[in-house]
Amino acid sequence: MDIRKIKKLIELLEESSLSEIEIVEGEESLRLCRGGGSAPMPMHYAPPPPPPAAAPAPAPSVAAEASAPLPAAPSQEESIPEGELVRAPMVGTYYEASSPEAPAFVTKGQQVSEGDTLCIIEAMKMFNQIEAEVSGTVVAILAENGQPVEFDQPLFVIR
Amino acid sequence: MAPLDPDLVAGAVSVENRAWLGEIIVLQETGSTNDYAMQLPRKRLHGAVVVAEMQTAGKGRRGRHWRSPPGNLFMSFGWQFAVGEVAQGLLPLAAGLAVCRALERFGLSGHGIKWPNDVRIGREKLCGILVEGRSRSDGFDMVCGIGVNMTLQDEAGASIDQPWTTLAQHLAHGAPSRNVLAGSILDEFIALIGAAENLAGQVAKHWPRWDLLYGRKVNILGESHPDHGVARGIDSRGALCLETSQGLQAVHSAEVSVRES
Repeated sequence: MDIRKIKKLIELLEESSLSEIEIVEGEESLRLCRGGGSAPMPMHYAPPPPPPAAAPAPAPSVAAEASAPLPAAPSQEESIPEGELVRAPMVGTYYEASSPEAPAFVTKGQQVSEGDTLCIIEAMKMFNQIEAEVSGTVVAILAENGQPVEFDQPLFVIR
Repeated sequence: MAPLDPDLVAGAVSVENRAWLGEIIVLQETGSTNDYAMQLPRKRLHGAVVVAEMQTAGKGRRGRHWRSPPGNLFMSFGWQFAVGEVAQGLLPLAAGLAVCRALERFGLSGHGIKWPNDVRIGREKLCGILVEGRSRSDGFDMVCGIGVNMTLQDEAGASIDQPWTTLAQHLAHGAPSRNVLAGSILDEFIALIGAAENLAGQVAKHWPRWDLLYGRKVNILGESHPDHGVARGIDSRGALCLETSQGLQAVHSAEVSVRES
C-alpha cells in the first residue's frame, strides 16, 4: 500500500464523520482511527483538558497491522482547500477528458457553470459524466487521469 | 430493406413494457444516436428511443470510432434513475443480456457476452454497446447505445480492427427487420430495468447462461488490477470476478482479453 494512498485515506477520514476506517488489500491491512489509539472514541464524556497551547491539531493515528510505514500527518498545504466538494458517485476509473486525444473537461483555476461536465468515471464500460452542481472556480482537482477512484472519493473543489 | 418506422419498433414491444416507452425518434442521419439522446431535454429522456438510418460519427469506448454503414441497427435508449436506485455498473451488463435474449427470439444460437458487454459469436463481435450516464445529486440519467451488425458490407468491415460478424451470416432466413429487432431489444431491456429494485437479481440470474468468459484464462489490460486470472462470473455490482494467486479479486474497469491457449 503506497504512502499516497494512505494519505488519501487519512484525508477521507478527516472529512468524514467516521471514527475508524479499516482497509484490507490482499495480505495488507490498515486501520485508521480518529483521536488516537485503536479504542473507539468515547462519545459523551466530559470535555478533555485543553491541550497545551503549542500542540498541533490532533491528527488521526495509524494503527498499521502490516509493516506499512507511519505517514506524517498531512500538512496544511496538502489538505483539501475550502469549497464545494464534488465526490465520486461510483467506484471506477477517473478520466479527465472524453477521449485520450481530447482536452480535459476542466483545468485548475477554470470557471465552471452548473451542469458543466467535470470528468468521466468509467466502470464496467459505463461512462458516467460527472456534472458541476454549482457555478464557480475549480480550485482543486484531486484525482489523476486514468486512476481508480473509490465511491464518495473527493474529486474536485469548486468555490 | 424496410425503413425505420417508430410504429413498427413500438409494435415489437410487449404491451406491458410499451407503457414505459417515451417517444421514438427516427433520424435519417446523425453523428451518433447517443450524442443525440444525451442532448435531449431531461424531461424527454426517460423511455426515449433514438434510431438512425446512418451515423456519421458512431463511437465506442473512449472516443473510438464505431463503423456505421447504412443497414445496421443504431439505437440509443434513455432512462432516468433515482439516486442509489441501481448499481450503475450493472446497466451495461443488462444491456448485453437484453441483446442476447432478443437475438435468441430470432433463432440465433451460440452467441454470448464477453464481460462487460461485447455480444459475440465465438471471437467475432456482433454488437457493440456504449452506455453513457450523467450524475447529479438528484438523479442519474442513462443513455444506452446499441449497434448491431446486420449485413455489414465487406468494404465497410475491412477497416475494423477486431474480428466481427453479422446477423445475416448466422441466421438461415437472413437478418430480421431492424424495427422488430430494435423493439425486441427494448422489450427485453425494459423487462430488466423497469423494476429497478430487481435489476441486480435479474442480472445475476441471467448472466451465467450468456457468460463467454467463465472458467477461461483472461488477461487484464489496465492499471491497478491483477493482470491475469481465471474468470469466475460477476459480483453484485457487475464487476468481473477473477481467480488469482491472491484469491478472488474484482475487476471494475479494464480491458479484458481472453488468453490464447
